[in-house]
Amino acid sequence: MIAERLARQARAAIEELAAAGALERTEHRALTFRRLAADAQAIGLFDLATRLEAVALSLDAQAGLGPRPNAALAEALLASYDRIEALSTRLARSALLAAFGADDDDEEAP
Amino acid sequence: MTSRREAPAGMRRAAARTELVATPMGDCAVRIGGATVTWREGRARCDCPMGDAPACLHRLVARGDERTRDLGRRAAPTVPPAAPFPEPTKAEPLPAEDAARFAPILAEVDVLLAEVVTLGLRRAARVSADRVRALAARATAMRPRARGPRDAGLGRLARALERLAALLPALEGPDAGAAEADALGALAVTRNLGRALRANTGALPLEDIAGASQRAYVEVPPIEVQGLGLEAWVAAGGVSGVTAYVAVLGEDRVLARTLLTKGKPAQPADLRTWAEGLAAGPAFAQSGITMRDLARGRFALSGARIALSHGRLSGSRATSVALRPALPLEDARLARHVLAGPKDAARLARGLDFDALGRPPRSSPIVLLPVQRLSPSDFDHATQELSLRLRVSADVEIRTALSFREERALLFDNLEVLSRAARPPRFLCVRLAREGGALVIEPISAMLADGTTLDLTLDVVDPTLEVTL
Repeated sequence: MIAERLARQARAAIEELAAAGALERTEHRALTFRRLAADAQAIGLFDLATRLEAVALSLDAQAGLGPRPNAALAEALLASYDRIEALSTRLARSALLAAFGADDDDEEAP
Repeated sequence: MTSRREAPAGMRRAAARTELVATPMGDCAVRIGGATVTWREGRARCDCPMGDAPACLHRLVARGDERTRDLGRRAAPTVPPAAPFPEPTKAEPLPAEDAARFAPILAEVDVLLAEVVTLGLRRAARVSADRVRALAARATAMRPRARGPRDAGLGRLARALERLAALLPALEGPDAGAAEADALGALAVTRNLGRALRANTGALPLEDIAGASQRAYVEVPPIEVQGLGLEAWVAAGGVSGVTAYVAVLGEDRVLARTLLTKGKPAQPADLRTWAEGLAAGPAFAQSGITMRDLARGRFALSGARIALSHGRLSGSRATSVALRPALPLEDARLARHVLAGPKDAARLARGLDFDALGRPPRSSPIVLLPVQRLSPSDFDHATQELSLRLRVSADVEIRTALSFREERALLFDNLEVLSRAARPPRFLCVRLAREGGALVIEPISAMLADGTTLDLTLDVVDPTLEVTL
Protein backbone atom coordinates (compact mmCIF):
# COMPACT_ATOMS: atom_id res chain seq x y z
CA MET A 1 0.00 0.00 0.00
CA ILE A 2 1.33 3.42 -0.82
CA ALA A 3 1.65 6.04 1.90
CA GLU A 4 -0.91 8.38 0.32
CA ARG A 5 -3.63 5.74 0.36
CA LEU A 6 -2.80 4.66 3.90
CA ALA A 7 -2.88 8.28 5.08
CA ARG A 8 -6.27 8.78 3.43
CA GLN A 9 -7.78 5.59 4.88
CA ALA A 10 -6.33 6.12 8.35
CA ARG A 11 -7.55 9.72 8.41
CA ALA A 12 -11.04 8.60 7.39
CA ALA A 13 -11.09 5.91 10.10
CA ILE A 14 -9.84 8.32 12.78
CA GLU A 15 -12.35 11.01 11.82
CA GLU A 16 -15.18 8.52 11.72
CA LEU A 17 -14.34 7.15 15.17
CA ALA A 18 -13.94 10.65 16.62
CA ALA A 19 -17.30 11.72 15.21
CA ALA A 20 -19.33 8.62 16.06
CA GLY A 21 -17.63 7.57 19.30
CA ALA A 22 -16.61 4.17 20.62
CA LEU A 23 -19.86 2.96 22.10
CA GLU A 24 -21.04 1.06 19.04
CA ARG A 25 -19.45 -1.20 16.43
CA THR A 26 -16.32 -1.42 18.55
CA GLU A 27 -15.29 -4.83 17.17
CA HIS A 28 -15.61 -3.72 13.59
CA ARG A 29 -13.69 -0.53 14.27
CA ALA A 30 -10.95 -2.38 16.15
CA LEU A 31 -10.55 -4.65 13.14
CA THR A 32 -10.24 -1.64 10.84
CA PHE A 33 -7.55 -0.07 13.00
CA ARG A 34 -5.67 -3.38 13.28
CA ARG A 35 -5.68 -3.68 9.48
CA LEU A 36 -4.42 -0.12 9.13
CA ALA A 37 -1.70 -0.80 11.70
CA ALA A 38 -0.55 -3.82 9.69
CA ASP A 39 -0.49 -1.73 6.51
CA ALA A 40 1.52 1.02 8.23
CA GLN A 41 3.99 -1.56 9.49
CA ALA A 42 4.30 -3.05 6.02
CA ILE A 43 5.50 0.24 4.58
CA GLY A 44 7.82 1.02 7.46
CA LEU A 45 5.70 3.54 9.36
CA PHE A 46 6.30 1.81 12.68
CA ASP A 47 5.41 4.72 14.96
CA LEU A 48 2.07 5.20 13.24
CA ALA A 49 1.48 1.43 13.32
CA THR A 50 2.03 1.39 17.10
CA ARG A 51 -0.47 4.22 17.61
CA LEU A 52 -3.09 2.60 15.40
CA GLU A 53 -2.66 -0.71 17.19
CA ALA A 54 -3.14 1.15 20.49
CA VAL A 55 -6.47 2.47 19.20
CA ALA A 56 -7.53 -1.09 18.37
CA LEU A 57 -6.55 -2.30 21.86
CA SER A 58 -8.43 0.59 23.49
CA LEU A 59 -11.52 -0.26 21.47
CA ASP A 60 -11.24 -3.88 22.66
CA ALA A 61 -11.12 -2.59 26.23
CA GLN A 62 -14.21 -0.42 25.73
CA ALA A 63 -16.44 -3.47 26.02
CA GLY A 64 -15.37 -3.84 29.65
CA LEU A 65 -15.81 -0.16 30.38
CA GLY A 66 -19.32 0.16 29.01
CA PRO A 67 -20.26 3.81 28.42
CA ARG A 68 -17.55 5.15 30.76
CA PRO A 69 -14.93 7.52 29.27
CA ASN A 70 -11.87 5.73 27.97
CA ALA A 71 -8.76 7.85 28.57
CA ALA A 72 -6.50 5.35 26.79
CA LEU A 73 -8.66 5.55 23.69
CA ALA A 74 -8.54 9.36 23.64
CA GLU A 75 -4.78 9.28 24.05
CA ALA A 76 -4.26 6.68 21.30
CA LEU A 77 -6.72 8.25 18.87
CA LEU A 78 -5.38 11.80 19.20
CA ALA A 79 -1.78 10.55 18.99
CA SER A 80 -2.68 8.68 15.78
CA TYR A 81 -4.27 11.86 14.44
CA ASP A 82 -1.04 13.77 15.06
CA ARG A 83 0.99 11.12 13.22
CA ILE A 84 -1.38 11.23 10.26
CA GLU A 85 -1.22 15.04 10.14
CA ALA A 86 2.58 14.89 10.18
CA LEU A 87 2.58 12.23 7.45
CA SER A 88 0.11 14.22 5.33
CA THR A 89 2.28 17.31 5.65
CA ARG A 90 5.33 15.41 4.41
CA LEU A 91 3.30 14.04 1.51
CA ALA A 92 1.97 17.51 0.61
CA ARG A 93 5.50 18.89 0.67
CA SER A 94 6.65 16.06 -1.58
CA ALA A 95 3.74 16.76 -3.95
CA LEU A 96 4.77 20.41 -4.25
CA LEU A 97 8.39 19.50 -4.89
CA ALA A 98 7.39 16.85 -7.43
CA ALA A 99 5.19 19.34 -9.30
CA PHE A 100 8.24 21.53 -9.86
CA GLY A 101 10.66 18.67 -10.44
CA ALA A 102 12.60 19.50 -7.27
CA ASP A 103 14.44 16.89 -5.21
CA ASP A 104 12.88 15.82 -1.95
CA ASP A 105 15.68 15.83 0.61
CA ASP A 106 13.37 14.90 3.47
CA GLU A 107 14.88 11.67 4.77
CA GLU A 108 11.78 10.92 6.79
CA ALA A 109 9.54 10.96 3.72
CA PRO A 110 7.97 7.55 3.21
CA MET B 1 12.55 23.58 -27.76
CA THR B 2 15.55 25.83 -27.48
CA SER B 3 17.71 24.64 -24.66
CA ARG B 4 18.54 27.24 -22.06
CA ARG B 5 22.19 26.29 -22.39
CA GLU B 6 22.18 27.18 -26.08
CA ALA B 7 21.40 30.81 -25.24
CA PRO B 8 24.40 33.10 -24.69
CA ALA B 9 24.85 34.34 -21.15
CA GLY B 10 24.26 37.96 -22.18
CA MET B 11 20.95 37.04 -23.78
CA ARG B 12 19.91 35.18 -20.66
CA ARG B 13 20.76 38.19 -18.52
CA ALA B 14 18.75 40.39 -20.89
CA ALA B 15 15.81 38.00 -20.62
CA ALA B 16 16.04 38.18 -16.86
CA ARG B 17 15.91 41.99 -16.91
CA THR B 18 13.55 42.73 -19.78
CA GLU B 19 10.22 44.38 -19.18
CA LEU B 20 8.73 42.38 -22.08
CA VAL B 21 5.69 40.35 -21.11
CA ALA B 22 4.37 37.21 -22.77
CA THR B 23 0.76 37.64 -23.85
CA PRO B 24 -0.89 34.30 -24.72
CA MET B 25 -2.52 33.96 -28.15
CA GLY B 26 -4.34 30.66 -28.09
CA ASP B 27 -2.90 27.37 -26.90
CA CYS B 28 0.41 27.31 -28.74
CA ALA B 29 1.49 30.91 -29.26
CA VAL B 30 2.44 33.97 -27.26
CA ARG B 31 3.03 37.55 -28.34
CA ILE B 32 6.16 39.16 -26.88
CA GLY B 33 6.78 42.74 -27.89
CA GLY B 34 6.75 42.74 -31.71
CA ALA B 35 7.37 39.00 -32.08
CA THR B 36 5.22 35.90 -31.94
CA VAL B 37 6.57 32.69 -30.44
CA THR B 38 4.82 29.46 -31.36
CA TRP B 39 5.29 25.91 -30.11
CA ARG B 40 5.26 23.09 -32.63
CA GLU B 41 6.32 19.54 -32.00
CA GLY B 42 7.92 20.53 -28.73
CA ARG B 43 10.07 23.30 -30.28
CA ALA B 44 9.65 27.04 -29.86
CA ARG B 45 9.81 29.11 -33.07
CA CYS B 46 9.99 32.89 -33.25
CA ASP B 47 9.17 35.17 -36.18
CA CYS B 48 11.76 37.78 -35.18
CA PRO B 49 14.89 38.37 -37.33
CA MET B 50 16.76 35.92 -35.08
CA GLY B 51 14.18 33.25 -35.73
CA ASP B 52 16.72 31.01 -37.45
CA ALA B 53 19.26 31.28 -34.62
CA PRO B 54 19.22 28.63 -31.88
CA ALA B 55 17.92 31.18 -29.36
CA CYS B 56 16.45 34.65 -29.13
CA LEU B 57 15.25 36.94 -26.36
CA HIS B 58 11.59 36.30 -27.18
CA ARG B 59 11.91 32.54 -26.88
CA LEU B 60 13.64 32.88 -23.52
CA VAL B 61 10.91 35.20 -22.28
CA ALA B 62 8.23 32.89 -23.68
CA ARG B 63 9.58 30.03 -21.61
CA GLY B 64 9.19 32.26 -18.60
CA ASP B 65 11.57 30.34 -16.38
CA GLU B 66 14.60 32.37 -17.46
CA ARG B 67 13.35 35.51 -15.82
CA THR B 68 12.19 33.91 -12.64
CA ARG B 69 15.31 31.74 -12.43
CA ASP B 70 17.54 34.77 -12.52
CA LEU B 71 15.43 37.08 -10.40
CA GLY B 72 17.32 36.27 -7.25
CA ARG B 73 20.68 37.11 -8.83
CA ARG B 74 19.73 40.43 -10.36
CA ALA B 75 21.84 43.39 -9.49
CA ALA B 76 18.85 45.39 -8.24
CA PRO B 77 19.33 45.87 -4.54
CA THR B 78 17.05 44.09 -2.13
CA VAL B 79 16.25 46.34 0.76
CA PRO B 80 16.76 44.57 4.05
CA PRO B 81 15.12 45.94 7.16
CA ALA B 82 17.34 48.51 8.88
CA ALA B 83 17.79 46.04 11.72
CA PRO B 84 16.76 42.39 12.05
CA PHE B 85 13.37 41.55 13.48
CA PRO B 86 13.47 40.88 17.21
CA GLU B 87 13.82 37.25 18.14
CA PRO B 88 10.73 35.55 19.53
CA THR B 89 10.62 34.89 23.24
CA LYS B 90 13.21 32.51 24.68
CA ALA B 91 12.34 29.06 25.97
CA GLU B 92 11.77 28.74 29.70
CA PRO B 93 10.03 26.33 32.06
CA LEU B 94 6.80 27.07 33.86
CA PRO B 95 7.47 27.97 37.51
CA ALA B 96 6.45 25.20 39.93
CA GLU B 97 3.86 27.49 41.50
CA ASP B 98 2.08 27.94 38.16
CA ALA B 99 2.36 24.25 37.32
CA ALA B 100 0.62 23.47 40.62
CA ARG B 101 -2.23 25.94 40.10
CA PHE B 102 -2.83 24.72 36.54
CA ALA B 103 -2.83 21.00 37.45
CA PRO B 104 -6.52 20.71 38.46
CA ILE B 105 -7.70 22.27 35.20
CA LEU B 106 -5.39 20.07 33.15
CA ALA B 107 -6.77 16.98 34.91
CA GLU B 108 -10.32 18.09 34.09
CA VAL B 109 -9.35 18.69 30.47
CA ASP B 110 -8.07 15.10 30.26
CA VAL B 111 -11.37 13.77 31.60
CA LEU B 112 -13.28 15.95 29.14
CA LEU B 113 -11.21 14.72 26.19
CA ALA B 114 -11.77 11.09 27.19
CA GLU B 115 -15.50 11.76 27.44
CA VAL B 116 -15.75 13.54 24.08
CA VAL B 117 -13.76 10.87 22.23
CA THR B 118 -15.63 7.98 23.84
CA LEU B 119 -19.06 9.49 23.21
CA GLY B 120 -18.07 10.86 19.82
CA LEU B 121 -18.18 14.47 18.74
CA ARG B 122 -21.76 14.24 17.49
CA ARG B 123 -23.13 13.21 20.89
CA ALA B 124 -20.68 15.43 22.75
CA ALA B 125 -21.98 18.43 20.81
CA ARG B 126 -25.28 17.92 22.67
CA VAL B 127 -24.10 16.81 26.10
CA SER B 128 -20.59 18.23 26.64
CA ALA B 129 -20.68 21.69 25.04
CA ASP B 130 -21.48 23.47 28.32
CA ARG B 131 -18.55 21.79 30.09
CA VAL B 132 -16.19 22.78 27.27
CA ARG B 133 -17.32 26.39 27.58
CA ALA B 134 -17.04 26.31 31.38
CA LEU B 135 -13.50 24.90 31.22
CA ALA B 136 -12.54 27.52 28.62
CA ALA B 137 -13.78 30.25 30.97
CA ARG B 138 -11.81 28.79 33.89
CA ALA B 139 -8.67 28.54 31.75
CA THR B 140 -9.13 32.16 30.64
CA ALA B 141 -9.35 33.19 34.29
CA MET B 142 -5.92 31.63 34.96
CA ARG B 143 -4.03 34.80 34.14
CA PRO B 144 -0.31 35.26 34.79
CA ARG B 145 0.56 36.04 38.39
CA ALA B 146 1.60 39.58 39.22
CA ARG B 147 5.19 38.51 39.92
CA GLY B 148 5.31 35.52 37.60
CA PRO B 149 6.49 35.32 33.98
CA ARG B 150 4.37 37.34 31.55
CA ASP B 151 3.17 34.28 29.63
CA ALA B 152 2.59 31.91 32.56
CA GLY B 153 -1.17 31.72 31.98
CA LEU B 154 -3.53 29.32 30.26
CA GLY B 155 -4.35 31.56 27.30
CA ARG B 156 -3.40 28.97 24.67
CA LEU B 157 -5.46 26.25 26.34
CA ALA B 158 -8.39 28.63 26.77
CA ARG B 159 -8.35 29.55 23.09
CA ALA B 160 -8.17 25.88 22.03
CA LEU B 161 -11.18 25.10 24.21
CA GLU B 162 -13.06 28.16 22.96
CA ARG B 163 -12.42 27.03 19.41
CA LEU B 164 -13.74 23.56 20.25
CA ALA B 165 -16.81 25.12 21.91
CA ALA B 166 -17.44 27.26 18.82
CA LEU B 167 -17.16 24.23 16.53
CA LEU B 168 -19.47 21.89 18.43
CA PRO B 169 -22.74 23.61 17.34
CA ALA B 170 -21.54 23.46 13.72
CA LEU B 171 -21.59 19.64 13.93
CA GLU B 172 -25.34 19.83 13.52
CA GLY B 173 -25.14 22.31 10.63
CA PRO B 174 -25.01 21.79 6.86
CA ASP B 175 -21.20 21.44 6.76
CA ALA B 176 -20.90 18.86 9.53
CA GLY B 177 -18.07 16.95 7.85
CA ALA B 178 -15.71 19.92 7.82
CA ALA B 179 -16.77 20.86 11.35
CA GLU B 180 -15.97 17.33 12.59
CA ALA B 181 -12.51 17.48 11.05
CA ASP B 182 -11.88 20.91 12.58
CA ALA B 183 -13.20 19.82 15.97
CA LEU B 184 -10.92 16.78 15.93
CA GLY B 185 -8.01 19.12 15.21
CA ALA B 186 -9.04 21.31 18.16
CA LEU B 187 -9.23 18.22 20.41
CA ALA B 188 -5.72 17.19 19.36
CA VAL B 189 -4.28 20.65 20.03
CA THR B 190 -5.98 20.72 23.44
CA ARG B 191 -4.49 17.34 24.31
CA ASN B 192 -1.01 18.37 23.16
CA LEU B 193 -1.08 21.65 25.09
CA GLY B 194 -2.03 19.74 28.24
CA ARG B 195 0.81 17.27 27.71
CA ALA B 196 3.33 20.05 27.05
CA LEU B 197 2.25 21.98 30.16
CA ARG B 198 2.51 18.90 32.33
CA ALA B 199 5.83 17.79 30.86
CA ASN B 200 7.16 21.36 31.45
CA THR B 201 10.56 20.58 29.94
CA GLY B 202 11.50 24.22 29.40
CA ALA B 203 12.23 23.50 25.73
CA LEU B 204 9.60 25.95 24.42
CA PRO B 205 8.77 29.60 25.02
CA LEU B 206 5.92 29.91 27.48
CA GLU B 207 3.87 31.85 24.93
CA ASP B 208 3.81 28.67 22.80
CA ILE B 209 2.26 26.40 25.42
CA ALA B 210 0.85 28.64 28.15
CA GLY B 211 0.33 32.24 27.11
CA ALA B 212 -1.58 35.20 28.36
CA SER B 213 -4.97 36.12 26.94
CA GLN B 214 -3.70 38.91 24.74
CA ARG B 215 -1.28 38.42 21.88
CA ALA B 216 1.77 40.64 22.27
CA TYR B 217 2.66 42.88 19.35
CA VAL B 218 6.21 44.23 19.28
CA GLU B 219 7.53 47.20 17.37
CA VAL B 220 9.93 46.28 14.57
CA PRO B 221 12.49 48.39 12.69
CA PRO B 222 11.26 50.31 9.61
CA ILE B 223 10.21 47.94 6.85
CA GLU B 224 9.00 48.12 3.28
CA VAL B 225 6.08 45.96 2.30
CA GLN B 226 4.44 45.13 -1.01
CA GLY B 227 0.82 43.97 -1.07
CA LEU B 228 0.20 40.50 -2.52
CA GLY B 229 -3.52 39.91 -2.17
CA LEU B 230 -6.74 40.45 -0.25
CA GLU B 231 -9.04 37.76 1.06
CA ALA B 232 -12.47 37.69 2.67
CA TRP B 233 -12.97 34.62 4.82
CA VAL B 234 -15.28 32.88 7.25
CA ALA B 235 -13.63 30.62 9.81
CA ALA B 236 -15.13 27.57 11.44
CA GLY B 237 -17.22 28.79 14.33
CA GLY B 238 -18.46 31.86 12.46
CA VAL B 239 -15.61 34.35 12.90
CA SER B 240 -15.22 36.32 9.67
CA GLY B 241 -13.00 39.04 8.31
CA VAL B 242 -10.84 40.43 5.56
CA THR B 243 -7.07 39.93 5.44
CA ALA B 244 -4.50 41.80 3.38
CA TYR B 245 -1.27 39.89 2.79
CA VAL B 246 1.95 41.85 2.38
CA ALA B 247 5.46 40.66 1.57
CA VAL B 248 8.24 42.17 3.68
CA LEU B 249 10.88 43.22 1.16
CA GLY B 250 14.25 41.72 1.98
CA GLU B 251 12.73 39.07 4.27
CA ASP B 252 11.21 35.63 3.73
CA ARG B 253 8.14 36.82 5.51
CA VAL B 254 4.55 37.52 4.55
CA LEU B 255 2.53 39.46 7.10
CA ALA B 256 -1.23 39.46 7.47
CA ARG B 257 -3.29 42.51 8.41
CA THR B 258 -6.81 41.50 9.37
CA LEU B 259 -10.02 43.37 10.08
CA LEU B 260 -12.74 41.27 11.71
CA THR B 261 -16.47 41.79 11.44
CA LYS B 262 -18.12 43.09 14.58
CA GLY B 263 -20.30 40.20 15.60
CA LYS B 264 -21.54 37.54 13.24
CA PRO B 265 -22.71 38.85 9.84
CA ALA B 266 -26.37 38.25 8.97
CA GLN B 267 -25.32 36.32 5.86
CA PRO B 268 -21.80 35.09 6.57
CA ALA B 269 -21.64 32.93 3.46
CA ASP B 270 -22.55 35.86 1.21
CA LEU B 271 -19.19 37.53 1.55
CA ARG B 272 -19.96 40.55 -0.59
CA THR B 273 -22.68 41.71 1.82
CA TRP B 274 -20.16 42.41 4.57
CA ALA B 275 -16.62 42.17 3.16
CA GLU B 276 -16.71 45.25 0.93
CA GLY B 277 -17.02 47.52 3.95
CA LEU B 278 -14.05 45.88 5.63
CA ALA B 279 -11.97 46.05 2.44
CA ALA B 280 -12.58 49.80 2.37
CA GLY B 281 -11.74 50.05 6.07
CA PRO B 282 -8.54 51.55 7.44
CA ALA B 283 -5.46 49.34 7.32
CA PHE B 284 -3.81 51.58 9.91
CA ALA B 285 -5.63 53.94 12.21
CA GLN B 286 -5.85 57.48 10.80
CA SER B 287 -3.63 56.64 7.82
CA GLY B 288 -6.23 56.91 5.04
CA ILE B 289 -4.82 53.64 3.63
CA THR B 290 -7.55 51.09 3.08
CA MET B 291 -7.15 47.34 3.32
CA ARG B 292 -7.47 47.12 -0.45
CA ASP B 293 -4.74 49.76 -0.86
CA LEU B 294 -2.46 47.80 1.45
CA ALA B 295 -3.07 44.59 -0.48
CA ARG B 296 -2.02 46.16 -3.78
CA GLY B 297 0.53 48.88 -3.08
CA ARG B 298 4.00 49.26 -1.72
CA PHE B 299 4.50 51.06 1.57
CA ALA B 300 7.28 52.05 3.91
CA LEU B 301 6.15 51.39 7.47
CA SER B 302 7.80 52.85 10.52
CA GLY B 303 6.73 51.98 13.99
CA ALA B 304 5.01 48.86 12.64
CA ARG B 305 3.86 46.47 15.34
CA ILE B 306 3.91 42.77 14.62
CA ALA B 307 2.90 39.62 16.50
CA LEU B 308 6.15 37.84 15.69
CA SER B 309 4.89 34.38 16.49
CA HIS B 310 1.84 34.81 14.22
CA GLY B 311 3.11 37.08 11.46
CA ARG B 312 0.24 39.50 12.10
CA LEU B 313 0.53 43.21 11.49
CA SER B 314 -1.23 45.56 13.87
CA GLY B 315 -3.24 48.55 12.66
CA SER B 316 -1.81 50.64 15.47
CA ARG B 317 -1.96 54.42 15.07
CA ALA B 318 1.70 54.43 16.11
CA THR B 319 2.55 53.07 12.65
CA SER B 320 3.35 55.74 10.09
CA VAL B 321 2.83 54.81 6.47
CA ALA B 322 4.45 56.24 3.35
CA LEU B 323 3.26 55.26 -0.10
CA ARG B 324 5.92 54.06 -2.57
CA PRO B 325 5.48 53.15 -6.24
CA ALA B 326 4.12 49.60 -6.44
CA LEU B 327 6.67 47.02 -7.57
CA PRO B 328 6.13 45.12 -10.80
CA LEU B 329 5.55 41.51 -9.81
CA GLU B 330 8.63 40.47 -11.79
CA ASP B 331 10.84 42.74 -9.66
CA ALA B 332 13.83 41.08 -8.03
CA ARG B 333 12.76 42.33 -4.63
CA LEU B 334 9.71 40.07 -4.80
CA ALA B 335 11.65 37.03 -6.02
CA ARG B 336 11.57 35.37 -2.59
CA HIS B 337 7.79 35.37 -2.78
CA VAL B 338 7.46 33.90 -6.26
CA LEU B 339 6.94 30.17 -6.82
CA ALA B 340 8.34 29.59 -10.28
CA GLY B 341 10.92 26.83 -10.21
CA PRO B 342 12.39 23.92 -8.27
CA LYS B 343 14.50 26.12 -5.99
CA ASP B 344 11.48 28.21 -5.07
CA ALA B 345 9.48 25.04 -4.43
CA ALA B 346 12.23 23.66 -2.20
CA ARG B 347 12.36 26.92 -0.23
CA LEU B 348 8.62 27.46 0.06
CA ALA B 349 7.79 23.81 0.79
CA ARG B 350 9.47 24.28 4.15
CA GLY B 351 6.59 26.58 5.06
CA LEU B 352 4.21 23.62 4.77
CA ASP B 353 4.50 22.44 8.30
CA PHE B 354 2.39 20.59 10.82
CA ASP B 355 2.43 22.00 14.31
CA ALA B 356 1.03 19.71 16.98
CA LEU B 357 0.51 22.67 19.32
CA GLY B 358 -1.57 24.54 16.75
CA ARG B 359 0.82 27.48 16.54
CA PRO B 360 0.18 29.57 13.45
CA PRO B 361 3.08 30.06 11.04
CA ARG B 362 5.35 33.08 11.57
CA SER B 363 4.89 33.91 7.91
CA SER B 364 1.63 33.37 6.00
CA PRO B 365 2.06 30.65 3.32
CA ILE B 366 1.11 33.10 0.56
CA VAL B 367 3.09 33.19 -2.70
CA LEU B 368 2.88 34.64 -6.19
CA LEU B 369 2.48 32.06 -8.92
CA PRO B 370 3.34 33.11 -12.48
CA VAL B 371 0.72 31.76 -14.86
CA GLN B 372 1.17 30.91 -18.52
CA ARG B 373 -2.14 29.18 -18.90
CA LEU B 374 -5.18 28.06 -16.94
CA SER B 375 -7.11 25.04 -18.17
CA PRO B 376 -10.89 25.23 -17.84
CA SER B 377 -11.86 24.18 -14.33
CA ASP B 378 -13.91 21.07 -13.66
CA PHE B 379 -16.45 20.77 -10.86
CA ASP B 380 -17.08 17.22 -9.67
CA HIS B 381 -20.60 17.06 -8.23
CA ALA B 382 -19.94 13.73 -6.51
CA THR B 383 -16.94 14.96 -4.50
CA GLN B 384 -17.98 18.66 -4.58
CA GLU B 385 -14.46 19.55 -5.67
CA LEU B 386 -13.31 22.11 -8.20
CA SER B 387 -10.23 20.93 -10.09
CA LEU B 388 -7.80 23.42 -11.57
CA ARG B 389 -4.75 23.01 -13.78
CA LEU B 390 -2.28 25.87 -13.81
CA ARG B 391 0.63 25.97 -16.24
CA VAL B 392 3.43 27.84 -14.54
CA SER B 393 6.12 27.35 -17.18
CA ALA B 394 6.77 25.18 -20.22
CA ASP B 395 7.73 22.28 -17.95
CA VAL B 396 5.50 22.76 -14.94
CA GLU B 397 1.78 22.23 -14.69
CA ILE B 398 0.17 22.15 -11.26
CA ARG B 399 -3.10 20.44 -10.46
CA THR B 400 -5.13 21.27 -7.42
CA ALA B 401 -8.63 20.58 -6.12
CA LEU B 402 -10.63 22.83 -3.81
CA SER B 403 -13.50 21.48 -1.72
CA PHE B 404 -16.75 23.38 -1.97
CA ARG B 405 -17.90 25.29 1.07
CA GLU B 406 -20.76 27.72 1.16
CA GLU B 407 -18.50 30.70 1.71
CA ARG B 408 -16.36 29.68 -1.26
CA ALA B 409 -19.23 30.01 -3.75
CA LEU B 410 -18.02 33.36 -5.15
CA LEU B 411 -14.42 32.09 -5.36
CA PHE B 412 -15.59 29.03 -7.28
CA ASP B 413 -17.70 31.15 -9.67
CA ASN B 414 -14.74 33.44 -10.27
CA LEU B 415 -12.33 30.58 -10.88
CA GLU B 416 -14.71 28.98 -13.34
CA VAL B 417 -14.87 32.23 -15.34
CA LEU B 418 -11.18 33.07 -14.98
CA SER B 419 -10.02 29.62 -16.08
CA ARG B 420 -11.99 30.05 -19.30
CA ALA B 421 -10.83 33.58 -20.05
CA ALA B 422 -9.12 34.33 -23.35
CA ARG B 423 -6.12 35.74 -21.53
CA PRO B 424 -5.04 34.07 -18.32
CA PRO B 425 -3.91 36.18 -15.38
CA ARG B 426 -0.19 36.93 -15.37
CA PHE B 427 0.12 36.01 -11.73
CA LEU B 428 -2.04 34.46 -9.08
CA CYS B 429 -1.56 35.20 -5.41
CA VAL B 430 -2.14 31.77 -3.84
CA ARG B 431 -2.13 30.08 -0.47
CA LEU B 432 -0.16 26.85 -0.09
CA ALA B 433 -2.14 24.72 2.30
CA ARG B 434 -3.39 21.26 3.12
CA GLU B 435 -7.01 20.21 2.99
CA GLY B 436 -7.34 16.88 4.71
CA GLY B 437 -4.24 15.12 3.55
CA ALA B 438 -3.72 16.80 0.19
CA LEU B 439 -1.75 19.82 -0.98
CA VAL B 440 -4.06 22.64 -2.01
CA ILE B 441 -3.12 25.72 -3.98
CA GLU B 442 -5.89 28.18 -3.25
CA PRO B 443 -6.04 31.31 -5.42
CA ILE B 444 -6.70 34.52 -3.52
CA SER B 445 -6.09 37.32 -6.02
CA ALA B 446 -5.45 37.41 -9.76
CA MET B 447 -3.23 39.95 -11.51
CA LEU B 448 -4.46 40.32 -15.07
CA ALA B 449 -2.44 41.17 -18.17
CA ASP B 450 -4.02 44.64 -18.36
CA GLY B 451 -2.64 45.48 -14.91
CA THR B 452 -5.87 45.13 -12.96
CA THR B 453 -6.07 42.99 -9.84
CA LEU B 454 -9.09 40.93 -8.88
CA ASP B 455 -9.60 39.73 -5.34
CA LEU B 456 -11.29 36.42 -5.99
CA THR B 457 -13.22 36.20 -2.72
CA LEU B 458 -14.56 39.75 -3.05
CA ASP B 459 -14.75 40.86 -6.66
CA VAL B 460 -16.90 39.41 -9.38
CA VAL B 461 -14.89 38.37 -12.42
CA ASP B 462 -16.53 39.77 -15.54
CA PRO B 463 -18.41 36.85 -17.14
CA THR B 464 -17.64 38.27 -20.60
CA LEU B 465 -14.09 37.02 -20.06
CA GLU B 466 -15.47 33.54 -20.54
CA VAL B 467 -14.66 32.28 -24.02
CA THR B 468 -14.04 28.55 -23.99
CA LEU B 469 -16.01 25.57 -22.73
